[in-house]
Amino acid sequence: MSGPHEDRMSVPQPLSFHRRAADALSTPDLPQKIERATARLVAARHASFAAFPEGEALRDEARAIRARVVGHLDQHLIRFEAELQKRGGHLHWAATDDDARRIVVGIARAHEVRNVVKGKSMVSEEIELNGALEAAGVHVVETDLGEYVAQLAGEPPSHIVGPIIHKSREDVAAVFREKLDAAEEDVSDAARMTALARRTLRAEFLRADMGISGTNFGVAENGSICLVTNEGNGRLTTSLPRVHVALLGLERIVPTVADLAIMLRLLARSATGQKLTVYSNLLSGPRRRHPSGSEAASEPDGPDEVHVVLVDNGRSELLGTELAEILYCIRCGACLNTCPVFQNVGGHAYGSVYSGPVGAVLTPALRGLDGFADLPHASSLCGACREICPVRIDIPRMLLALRAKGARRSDTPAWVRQGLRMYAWLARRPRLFAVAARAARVATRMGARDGWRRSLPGPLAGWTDHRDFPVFAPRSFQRLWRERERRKP
Amino acid sequence: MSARDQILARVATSLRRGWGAGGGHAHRTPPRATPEKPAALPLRDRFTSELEALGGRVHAARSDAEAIQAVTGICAERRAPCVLAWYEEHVGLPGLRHALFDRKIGYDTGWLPDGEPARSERLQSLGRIAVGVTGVAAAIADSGTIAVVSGPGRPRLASLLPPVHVAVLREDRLYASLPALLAAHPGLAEQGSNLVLITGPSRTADIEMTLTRGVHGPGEVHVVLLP
Repeated sequence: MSGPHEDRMSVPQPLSFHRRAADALSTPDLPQKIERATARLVAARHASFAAFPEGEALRDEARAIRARVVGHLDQHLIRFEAELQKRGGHLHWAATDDDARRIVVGIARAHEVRNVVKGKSMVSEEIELNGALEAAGVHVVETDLGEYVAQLAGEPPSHIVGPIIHKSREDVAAVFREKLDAAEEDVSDAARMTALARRTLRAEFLRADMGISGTNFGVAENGSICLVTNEGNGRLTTSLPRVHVALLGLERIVPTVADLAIMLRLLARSATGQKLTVYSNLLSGPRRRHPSGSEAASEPDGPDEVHVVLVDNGRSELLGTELAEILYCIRCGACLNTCPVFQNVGGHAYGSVYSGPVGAVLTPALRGLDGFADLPHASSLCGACREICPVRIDIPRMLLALRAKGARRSDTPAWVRQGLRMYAWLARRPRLFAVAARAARVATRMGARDGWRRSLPGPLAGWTDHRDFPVFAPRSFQRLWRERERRKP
Repeated sequence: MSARDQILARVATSLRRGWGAGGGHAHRTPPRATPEKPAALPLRDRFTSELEALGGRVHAARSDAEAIQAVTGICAERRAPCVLAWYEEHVGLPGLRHALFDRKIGYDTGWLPDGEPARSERLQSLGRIAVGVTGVAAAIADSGTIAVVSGPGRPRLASLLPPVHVAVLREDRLYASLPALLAAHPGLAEQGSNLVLITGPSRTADIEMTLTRGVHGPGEVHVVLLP
């Protein structure tokens, strides 16, 4: 599909997103699988909000809470740290992904950890933690069912909430057959495959020395961390092993438990249409023991140590900029589900941990435009992401800001920059603009059939490779406007 | 400068640039919706229908004796030789332990010892128990949720490790919504190292969006509801 481009001198090489998207679109059944899954999630989300009259007001409130936190992040972090320490937890500050990896590997070494069970964590994917632990000789197992399948298959997750929506039942069965030597009766349907995963992972849970989880929210007023899962793997990860390490993105703080409640209600409904996620798990420090050692006065289980690793990795640089709003995100995945681009190409096409509309902003915002300059273009700017976002993040505005930034870069093809400059010059001169529009009207009508042109000449041909071009309307907007003004009394 | 001070300094410096400080940019917000009308159903009916819609079961008991019968019945059906349970006073059903003993059902309160291999051996044996029994700190009618708090005599694992979770709930602990529950129990999260809101049985839809229960947590959640 990218073939014809490469022959044309004046047309830039297709960028990497376009290449990966083209691959995705030509993978048998992949767009259908993604579309089926996302359509169901969007339908569930809409049905859930339709039956939730206070939802719209709660979204405003949630947005205000996130804005307050992000606007005064330092104060909230200091409060969170103090309260966590009061309850016996440890807070580690990681400026970079490298620091975060070193801290977690250090904790594992200090406790002579051999086996780690992991709950779902996007930050852990972001900092590529598993590789670092494995290099340190630690056995790491993902325990969210989807993440586990992705890990066995050697793939990254393709969706924030549904890591393997790109896989069919048969695909999963093939992974289990190959990697777990699964018998046929264990992979005959989704329930049996789930049961097989439960058995396999339960053994991992019971022998693990350390659990690593993500964190949905840190609560500043009491130093708690909140972790939501439907499967219960988050609870097992944080309750069974001796040591619990939670990764926390720098901005994922809410001030109070009451604020948390608002977020939890919106998160569940936006992600899957549930009223609440099955397990909303709030953890405040390690297992509490009475100084006397009395069994009757001490908690019977829970980890002996809790470490929270606060990961910056570029986030603090976004504060106070036009991209700061992306830090309001609560990772529900709704913008992925509703995005017409994501629905067709899926998460892997974005080539980064964070995909979909939020990823198209977050990835270049955190990691720079180098290598990701094409991501802000992976959008039709239809605004569906802004419409569905539980905290009403204006993603299209930031996509445009990043596109503008990208257009000023030297790797933008000269003819694009030249063309945009010409358009800007023309657009500021109404008379000339009218003349040019008339010329375009005539030009586009040449060779058009039924109001559409199959191809455009020169560098514009790339546009018509994938769609037809509509001829210009017979009467321009300027003319319609003048006529309308004249009709007014 | 420590990593902590470095990050905090960078945060403070960035925030001073001022873009979007205190509330972000002006964003169009739709008119506020009218607040939800109070549920027409009594709380216990709403709770029951919500939890059962999720695949949980509510056993209405008129007395402690009936509640004990419900719990022992669930254990007997599964031929459970033992339960992983909270201290009887925290379950809130006096006489439960005796009733189970009478039926030759053991009562394990889940203490985890320190040191290996004692700890892992203990976990292995706890992992074989089929039924967990807990109390409920408070519950939410409009989502079918129970709030469970860990503490002395209240192991986390009782509501987590066994495939069947039986929770004993008194009706006066029911609230209409999560905000109502938190308003009534502002310190709930402070009562133990772990507060968990449980909304139905453990579930996953990771494989082709097919709903499957009991993937890691209990696949069966029974709430014994007492007046």
